[in-house]
Amino acid sequence: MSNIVKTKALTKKYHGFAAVDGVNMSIEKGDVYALIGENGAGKSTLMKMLSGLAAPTSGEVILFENKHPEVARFRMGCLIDSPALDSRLTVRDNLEMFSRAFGCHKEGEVDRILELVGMKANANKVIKKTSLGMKQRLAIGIALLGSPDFLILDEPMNGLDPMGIQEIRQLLKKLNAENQTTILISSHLLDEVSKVATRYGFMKAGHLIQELSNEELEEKSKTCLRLKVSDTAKAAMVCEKELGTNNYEVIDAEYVRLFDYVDESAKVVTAMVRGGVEVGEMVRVGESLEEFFNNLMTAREEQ
Amino acid sequence: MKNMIRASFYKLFHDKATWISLAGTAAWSLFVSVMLTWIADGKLNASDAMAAEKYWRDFMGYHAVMVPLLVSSIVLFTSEFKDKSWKLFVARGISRAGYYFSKLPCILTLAVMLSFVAITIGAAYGVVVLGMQFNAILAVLLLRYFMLQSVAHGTAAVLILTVYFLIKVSEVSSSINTILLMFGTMALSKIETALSLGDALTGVWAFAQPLRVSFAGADDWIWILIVFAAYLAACSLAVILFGVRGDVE
Repeated sequence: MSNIVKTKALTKKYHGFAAVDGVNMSIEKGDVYALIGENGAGKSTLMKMLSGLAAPTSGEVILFENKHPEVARFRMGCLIDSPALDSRLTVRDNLEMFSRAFGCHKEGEVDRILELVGMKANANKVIKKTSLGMKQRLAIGIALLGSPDFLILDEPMNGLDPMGIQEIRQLLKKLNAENQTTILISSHLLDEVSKVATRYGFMKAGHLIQELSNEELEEKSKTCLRLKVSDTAKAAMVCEKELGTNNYEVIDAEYVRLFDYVDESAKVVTAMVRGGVEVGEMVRVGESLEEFFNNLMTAREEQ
Repeated sequence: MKNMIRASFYKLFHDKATWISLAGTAAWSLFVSVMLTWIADGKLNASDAMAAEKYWRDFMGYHAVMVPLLVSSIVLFTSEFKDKSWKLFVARGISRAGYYFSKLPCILTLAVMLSFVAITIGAAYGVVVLGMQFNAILAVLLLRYFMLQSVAHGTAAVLILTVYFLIKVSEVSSSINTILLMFGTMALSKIETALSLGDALTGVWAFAQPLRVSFAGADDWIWILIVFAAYLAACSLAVILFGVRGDVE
């Protein structure tokens, strides 16, 4: 698989404050990489550095495997911060102008984009008379001009109604599946992101604290029984010998997660008691992306 | 670069503001002509060579082209920097210098179009109302005057664009350009008088160039071209040195 983005110790400082601090990340062709983090975690700054809108203080960005970034950026489409559109031109004129600037103006290209983002009926509306949702759709449309190989979308669902969110999600999935378009996306709507992402990068205070594939996240977030026990070593032995499973995880000195026997809690309690383990608490849990994110952020704060 | 120039011209000709500016220039030029006649108490006779020279000098003195040029620039560039649409070009690998140089032919074209409209209105008023004789000599003089005024206003246009590009905050750039137009020439004249510098400062001042063009041809047209070329070179250098670094906010 070819590398679309690789960063080496990428850092951006504003007046001594590191908005992005030593980030090493790589995005492979065909990935839908979700960048997740709280406000001020450094997601937008990282995206700005990738798109050439901000110069790194130190570190390196390699796009499309060592090609000159200015040249490589012709293969990228971006939506960073709020939609940056020419407010006095119409929807169609914005697309016509940007398609000429991007060197992808050809017969039918603007209509194709209008169709893709569902803006055909509003093509002749002047931008300043359109809603935020329409602006957002057009901004995504501009990013899609010329069918770029790599899309950077910062909060693309902002301002969209539920139908719009669904349409954009379907569009991103289609682009990824049919054209192998690589996508870097950030969003506060974690559940929405989890419906399209294939990889996740979690950011906090400028650091990329964890990267996971979809499979790894599913593994981490799958349903289990969380037991508070008197002795985790004994509980582990009970799992292996009495219950005959290795599919468990000792979280800390008190807690054990058991991924089997999820619907047979009585059997688990009986085995634990028979093995001399007191069970103080037993909860059936299944972490959503949101729960995983919250737990990860809390754990990081405690560190 | 070629693509970016095409995009800039697309915007220029599809933005209603351009056509409103041209209509505004026509109205403003007519207003200036009527006002000049009113000030002269109806005695303005543009068929007289000296009166014609004074008429055109006053016509440009009231910024018949410069005010519409500044207003159109404010409208055109405010959207680029206030709406931040220019960052989409940068994010697609178009260099910042490339962005600036693609706007140059655009704003120069605007200066030519506005000069054409203003001089046409001024000449039409002179012929119809003031009794100017329209003949081959007048046609040649008008053509020469139009070409030199286009260059003179082009010099100011280059400066206006450069201020926008270097500052990138449309409100600040618009204010600076307006102050330069309204008070620049006056301030430089005062300095020249105080220091006995002749016209050393206003002679090279971009916003004063239209006043150096003579209708009858008694001007140093080479100097007007040299000043234009010097502004073009100096502003390009300033953009390359100071305008291509920093983050796009």
